Formats: sequence, structure tokens, C-alpha cells
Amino acid sequence: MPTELHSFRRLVLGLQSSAPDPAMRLAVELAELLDLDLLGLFLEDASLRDLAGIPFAREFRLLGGGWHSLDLDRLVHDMEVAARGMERTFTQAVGSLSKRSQFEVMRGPVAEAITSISNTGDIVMIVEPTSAAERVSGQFSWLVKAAFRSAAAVMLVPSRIIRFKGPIVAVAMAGDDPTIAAAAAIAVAAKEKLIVIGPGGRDRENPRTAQLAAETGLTIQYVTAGDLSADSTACLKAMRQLQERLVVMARLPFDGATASAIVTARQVPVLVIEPERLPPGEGDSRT
Amino acid sequence: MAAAESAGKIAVWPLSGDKLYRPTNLSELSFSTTADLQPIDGLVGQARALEAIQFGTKVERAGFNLFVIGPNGARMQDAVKAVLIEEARRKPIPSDWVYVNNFADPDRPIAIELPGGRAREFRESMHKLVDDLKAAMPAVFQSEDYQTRRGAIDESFQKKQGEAFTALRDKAAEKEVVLLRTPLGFALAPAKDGQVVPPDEFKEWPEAKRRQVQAIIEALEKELEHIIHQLPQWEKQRRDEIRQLNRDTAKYAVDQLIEETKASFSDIPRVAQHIDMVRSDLVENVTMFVMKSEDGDDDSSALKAGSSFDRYEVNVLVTQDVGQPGAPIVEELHPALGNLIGRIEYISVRGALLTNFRLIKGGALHRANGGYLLLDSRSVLMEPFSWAALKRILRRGEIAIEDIARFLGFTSTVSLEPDPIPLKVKVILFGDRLLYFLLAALDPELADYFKVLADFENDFVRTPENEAILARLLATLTQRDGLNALDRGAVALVLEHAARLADHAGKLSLVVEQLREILIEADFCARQAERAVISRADVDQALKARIRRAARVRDRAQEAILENVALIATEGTHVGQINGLSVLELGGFSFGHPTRITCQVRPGTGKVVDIEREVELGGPLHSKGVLILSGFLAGRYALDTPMSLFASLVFEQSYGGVEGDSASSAELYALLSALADVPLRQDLAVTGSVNQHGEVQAIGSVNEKIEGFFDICDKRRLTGSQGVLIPQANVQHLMLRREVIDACAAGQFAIFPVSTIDEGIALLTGLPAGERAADGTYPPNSINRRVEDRLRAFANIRRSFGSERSGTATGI
Repeated sequence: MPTELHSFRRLVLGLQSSAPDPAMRLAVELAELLDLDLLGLFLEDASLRDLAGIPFAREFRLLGGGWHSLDLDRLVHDMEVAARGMERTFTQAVGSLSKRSQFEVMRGPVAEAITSISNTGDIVMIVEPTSAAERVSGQFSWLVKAAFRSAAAVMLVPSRIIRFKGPIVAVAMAGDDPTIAAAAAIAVAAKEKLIVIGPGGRDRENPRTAQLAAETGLTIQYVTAGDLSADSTACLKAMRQLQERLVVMARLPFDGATASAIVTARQVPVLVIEPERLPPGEGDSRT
Repeated sequence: MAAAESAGKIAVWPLSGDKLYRPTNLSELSFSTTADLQPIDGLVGQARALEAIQFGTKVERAGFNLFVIGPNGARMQDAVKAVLIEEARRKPIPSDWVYVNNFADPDRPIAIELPGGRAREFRESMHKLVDDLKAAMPAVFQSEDYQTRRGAIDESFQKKQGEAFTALRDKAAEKEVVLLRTPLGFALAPAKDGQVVPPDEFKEWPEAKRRQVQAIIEALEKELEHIIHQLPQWEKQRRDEIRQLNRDTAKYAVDQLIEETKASFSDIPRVAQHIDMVRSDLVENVTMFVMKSEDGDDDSSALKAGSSFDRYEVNVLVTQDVGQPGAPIVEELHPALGNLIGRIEYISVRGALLTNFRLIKGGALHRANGGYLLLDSRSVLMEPFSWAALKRILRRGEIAIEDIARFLGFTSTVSLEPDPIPLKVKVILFGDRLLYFLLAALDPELADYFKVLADFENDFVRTPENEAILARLLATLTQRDGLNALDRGAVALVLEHAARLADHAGKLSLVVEQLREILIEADFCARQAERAVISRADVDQALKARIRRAARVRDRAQEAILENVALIATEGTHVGQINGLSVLELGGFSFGHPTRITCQVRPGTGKVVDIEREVELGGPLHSKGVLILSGFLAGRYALDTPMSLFASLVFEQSYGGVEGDSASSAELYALLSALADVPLRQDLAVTGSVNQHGEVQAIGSVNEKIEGFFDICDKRRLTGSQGVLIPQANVQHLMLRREVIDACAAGQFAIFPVSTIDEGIALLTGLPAGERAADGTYPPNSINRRVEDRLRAFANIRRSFGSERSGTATGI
């Protein structure tokens, strides 16, 4: 993938208790397509150690059921086992990308871990847990919040991905919306069509995107949507007939909740980028 | 050559040349070479066998299978096939048979019958159906409509879960408690500003507050436990709803393709029924087409033989070629059990042997079903389990594939029990007569399953008409094998050789393969001499070459005689010693050679000892021949006197087994000579068996025996007095070599036909045998008189010896 089309440098796959195989494959595929380094980041939440220090702390075990008191040594051991298991899974999944991949275990508060490691060239990939209990757990909400607070782009991945082929959708507020350029880069790399969802009008067609289409043979389709800034409703309505594999949208005016709603409704990954993120060279043209 | 005379009554004259060899009479046939002759197909000279084959192939009843027997090399298979081809053409094309998966019980695959030639179409249609579904199903399951409905179900489930957990989370948050995921489950922790309270800080809290928080957490734990206990039930509901959605969606996708496939086979209800079952299974197992990657339930690692889609394929067991009308004629040369009744194959998957209906392989019985199956009986009997399985299948009237390894416990893996397939086949077994008769004697079931016997003749009568037929058969053979044509002389010699092969001047061998071999070798000779037509000289050269190649042992045996290592006298006379004749057959080549037989007599208890038998070198027939001699002596001589003879007979310098009774007349001559104390001529050799009345009986291989003695005499020097005594009944069998005939014609050798022992003994001794007069005595100086006198003398000696012993005993 020609890196000049986007400014991402690294994909950070946030790993906690589990990571579905499809999500792992998606991470590897995306890293290959966009020519990114891949970091598997296992987050060993410090809050569990704190909990273990509280006298009456206990856990409800899913396997075997029942309540069991929390023992710090046992907890540390279990977390190490989980980390090693995750590393094995990650190493197997990366395959040919192994030279540009890395696995790290970070201990401490989840939010701090994400904030400290991510930067503007990163995409932080967060896989939604399959279980609703996990989704409402403290660690997941801390992870999502921290990711959205960080300088990195965030990719929310549903626990079940329904499509691995299909067009890349960019939700754009205007013709120069950076989501178009980012989505175009992915579409070119994946040899997929680009669909731009945005308000109607002449300004939706960006000269740079048109040039990119001419240079790469990228097919671009425009879909007009209603008031995109309100919530996810207009966006989902516009996507109804699409068979997209990935949605790219900006953090503003959208928030994490909108992205999460789209992930739940469409069951495809959603990449949320910083509004100011621009492809190399784009900044010059905006002066 | 002078005749032998005995008291002016019995005279044996040497045979004239015309009795020694019967030339071919081709006057019925006008041709210059066999190229001019009309070839002849099918069975020649086998009217009896032909009738049996025609009957056996036409009668449509259970058990009326054919057992075709005859000599080796009679090319029975070819002959029967020629008949069957015509019969098979008139029969309808048999059905095709396929095996398909039994969705209810995969271990019992279902057999389906289709009209001949339709099996492949069925297989292709099902294959196409699966291919189409592979393409169509994912599209349907990725459609917006499906995804919306699926999403709604998931959402509903997630919502239910989410609401429960969110409510719990919110309730916990209100009370400053947070839900945490632990490596093995979930836990609730006291929180402050959304973060877990550090233990040190918690310890500093007042006791009351700590107890209050603990109580709150315990209450929330109960709620968490309650929600988690509900999860399986919610998950089951979700799965049920998704399964139903998948079913409905798959049915929509499958129905049209299924109906299209079914339409092509609407005339075959069993196929239509199977396609309906495929539809049901597809709807139930649609995940294999679309959802492998979704739920992580990819079953590629499961232990199974082949792909998941194999279950919809069709295993064509047997299909007919519609371009070739009629019933099949199948010849199975290697009737191992699996080749005969079919087999179930296995494939190894991670060390386990697995199978499915696609690994069922048809056997010869499947291919021949509706037609004819040709088997060599010896091959069937030599293959373990094949004979028993063949009978079992014929009894059941259906082909059930049996896994013998499983019955024997050699394999303990899962196997199949395919539907048996109805059998309507005519089995034709081929074999030699001995095998058939042994089988008939030892296996009483043979008659139940092979009721029609077709017995091929070894030969047929040598009439000019039949010679003409055989000449045409030679023309057929030359054409079939691309050989040069034979001229009249060559044909004549081959036919004469056929008579020699038949061991009868008045018959012609029908062992076609032997004639074919001669033609091929004669053709080789002709081509070597750059002749386009095979001449009599080529045939003669081929015959001689065949003998030369095979005659090493014969030559060594003759060499031993000529060097006096093996003692055979061909001149002079000797008491109690005679030249017998025996035949050795080694590797298909027979030759005769003389053997010295000697006899010693003395008073005894009436016993004739066969030394060969005593040392267990004599076979039962040989022993029988010797015992007959005792009967002859007892019935002819000194009837008023107890037999008081001890005689011993032996084949001198014989170190191998002796079988047959063809030397019994020679042994009797030696015995009579010893008893009469009259020398026997050593320039004559004798063959023939004898009965208790002294009649000389026919023996086999008379030509080889005569030639064996002739060769020795010829190599030493023909004296003019040498010859062979043969049974009168064997004269008709004479087809001697040209050298023998020429020597006889020149008076240098003679063949004497003998009917009785009296004729023979007169010829061998020069003395009359003598006939018993009215007063009960034999003429003085006759052989019989001498023998009788000697036997009485032995009796007297024994009597006096007995009296002495008796007196001694009394004296005591």
C-alpha cells in the first residue's frame, strides 16, 4: 500500500480477556493493506489487583459457576496465563507480518496505558466483547473512553463481523472531509469501491479525491444523506442498501456513541479518525 | 517281419503302414491356402456344450448358472463369449446404480436404481446443485434482508443482555460500585470517581462504611448471579431464532435450485425423494455454506472423510454405456472378494480410518448385473472368501458388500452397511473337469447355484467334414492372429498333429490353443525363410523344434540307456526279464522310454510282491495291476492246488514313483517267463494292462511309448527283429512319427497288436501259450503247461515242508 495516501503508521490492537479470531484477522489484513506496524497490546488492568486487596472481594466464575474469593497470587497467575495465551494467538495470527509486529503486555490503569502508548499515527483497534457483561464492565468502558480521548484514530470492531468484502464507506460532512481521503486509501489498497455518504451539493466532490480516482482507477460512488450531525439514524438509513465492509467517519461531529451504534447496527468495523487528520500534502492545499 | 505263432492257432502279425498313421483327407475342401477358406466362428465340434450354453443363458431361473468345463487351452471363454455377445444384444440395457447418503443413518447408504445411462446425469446435477448453492447461499445470507433480520435477533438478544447488565452497572454506579471482568469471570468492586478504590484507602474507611459497601456489593452480586444464570436461556432463545431464520432463508435460496434439479428426474420417484431429503438437510445444515467464519464453528478439523458437501454428492457405482446396447458381459480375471462383490475403502484422517458412502466401490457383480459374469473357478476358489461370498449372493439374489476385515476383527473402525442391490446376473464359471468334479463332490451347494453344466469336448470325430471344419478354424486363427496363410500340405499336417494331440487317429483335438501355438511357430519359420505362405515343411519344422526345445530330459534318459547306465537290452533273450514302457510328462511334453522289469519266483504262500509298492514308490493303480496278476494266476493254473508261490516284481533302476497299470501285461509276461523258466525276447518292448482273464487292455500315450523304444533301437541299430507289443485296442490311436512308420515299412521295426496274454507270451518266447485240453491239461512244452507244472511243484515243496514242520511239532 502506498503510504503517501494516508498518515497512519501503526495499528494498535487492544487486547483484553478475549479477541475473536475474525477480529484478529481483520487487524492483520488492515496492517498489510495500509502497510502498518502491528502492535498487539494486552492490557493487564491494575484495578483487579486493587480489588484483590479488598478483604471481601470475590469473583463469579463462568466456568463451573459459583463465587470464589479473589486471591492476588492466583489472580496474577491467571492474568499471566491469559497474556501468554493471547500472545500465542496473536503470533499465530500475524503470520507473514511477524517482522513488523510486536506483542506487549501493559500493566496499570487501562486509560493510562492507552494514553501513554498511542499517538497521532496510530489506529487503536478495539474489539467489542461478545458478552454484554463484558461490554458494561469497567475495563471496556475505560478502554473505549481512553481510546477516544487519545490522539489516535479508533477502530471499533463488532464481535461478529458479517462481511469481509465490499465497499469502503466514508461518512463525510463535506468534500474535503479527511474521512474521504482515509477511506480512499483503504479502498485503493483493498481494491474495493469507495462510497461517500454525505450531504448533497457540488462541494462534496473533492479535487484531490477525483485525482486519486483518476490515478488509481478507484471507483467512487456518492450517496446523499440527510442531517448527518444529529445522530446515527441518517447515516444508517443511507447505508441500508450498501454491502460495506468498513465505515470511516470523523470524531467530530460524531462521537463514540454514534460509532458504536453503527457498529452494532451494521456489524462491520467503524474507523473513527481525528477531524484534523489529513493525508500528507493535504495541509499545504488548505493554507 | 514274421508273425508269431502258437500251436498254429494264434498268430500276431505286425501292423501294416496304413494302421500306423492316418493322413488327412482334404478332398472335401477346395482351396490352395487357408486364405481361400471361409473363417468359422464360435464353437466347433461342441454341440453338447453349445446346447448347454444356449440353455443356460436363456433360462431365467435362480440357480441356473453355468459351469463350463473342458481341457485347458480349449479357449472356452472365447467360445462362450461369442455365443453370449449375440444373446446379450437381445437383452435390455440394465439399470444404473448409485449410492447416496442416508441422511437419517449415514452408516447405511441408500442404493438408488436409475434407467441405464442416467447415473452420470444424476451425479452431475447434484454436483451442480452444490456448486450453485455454494455461490448462492453466501449471497442470500449476506443480503440486507437477512442481515437485518439476523441483526434484529442479535440486537434483541444483546439488548436483553445489555439492558440487564446496564441496569446492574447503573445501579452499581449509583452506589459507587463497578463491575469488573476477571480472567475467570466477573467481580464487583467499590469505586470512587469511576475507579476501583485502592485497598489502602479502603482499609482507612470507617468500619461501618466498609460493612455497608460490602452489603451493597453482596446484594449486587446476587443480581449479577441471577443475570448470568439467565444468559444460557437467552442464548438458547437466540440460537433457536437464528436457526429458524437460517432455515427460512435457506429454504428460500434452496427451493428454486432444488426444484430445477428435481424436474430433470421427475420420472424417477426414488431420485425425487432423495432430492427432497437433500433439501431438508440443506435447510438444517445451511451453516456449512455460509457461516463457517462467523460463529467459529468451522468443522474442518472434525474427523470425517472428505468435505462436508460430499454428503450431497452421488456415488455412481455402475453405469451403462447407452452407446452400446444390450447386457454387459464382464470377465473378472482377479476375483478377490473386493473385486467381486465391491468394497468399502477408507481414508486416513489423522491416523483414524474413516469412510463414507462415496468410498463404496462396485465389484464385478455390480458391473455384470443384468448381464453375464465370467469367472475362472480356480481363481475364485483360490481367493479367500470369494467362493462363499459368491454363493451367498446368489442365494440372496442381491449384492451386499461385506467388509471381511471387519468380520474378522482386523479393523475396529466405523464401517458402512450399504443397501444391498438386487442381483440379476448369469454367472458363468470356467474350469477343468477335475476341479468341477471335486467341487461337486465336496461342496453340495454347487448343484444349487450352478445347475447347468457345459462340458467341452477334448476332440471330435475325424471325418472329412470335420477335417474341413477344423481347416476353416485354422483359417480363422491365422486371420485373428495376423499369421500367414497355410497351404494344403501345412493344413494337412496340422490336422494330423491334431489327431496326435487327441491320442487317436480317428479324432481331432479341439484344444484350440495348442493348434494356435503350432500356427504361430510355423508362421515364424515361414517368415524366417521369407515365405508368404506356411508350408508343410514349416509346420514340421515347428513341431520338431517344439520337441527339441522340451526334450532335454528325454535325451538324457536315452543317453543313460545307450551308455548302459540304465540297463535296457534290445537284443537276445532272458528269463524273467522284459522291456516295459512308461511315459514321463514334464512341463507339457510327454515322452516314452523303456524300463526293465524283472521277476523272481520261488515257493511261498501265494503272494506276488510288488517291490515298488513295498517301498511306497508304486501308486495305487500300479499296485492294482500287480494284484490282478495274482488273480490271473489263481484263476488259470493248478486250480486243484493251493497257490504256493512267492514272486517279486520290480521296475529296475526306477528311482521315482510308478503309477498306472499299463505295465501289468509286461509284468505278467515276466512272471510267466520266470515260472515257466522260458526266456523272453529282449528286442521287443511291451505295453498294455491285463485283466484277470488274461485279456490285454488299452493304455494311454501309445505313440510316445512306441517312439520311446524305437528311438533306443534306432540309435543302437535297428536289427529288423525289434518291435513293440501294444494292446489291439490301441491300434486306432496310432499316429506315429514318420521315422517309425518308415522303419516299419522297411521291415526294420514292427508294431504287434495283442489281444491276449497268450498271444503276447507266444510272441515273446516263441513257444505256444497252450490251451487246456479236455482232460484238463495243457499241451506239453507249452508255456501254460510249464507254468502249471512249476506251480504244482511249488505246492508240493510247500506241502512237504509243511508236513515236516507238522511232524516235528507232533513229535514234540
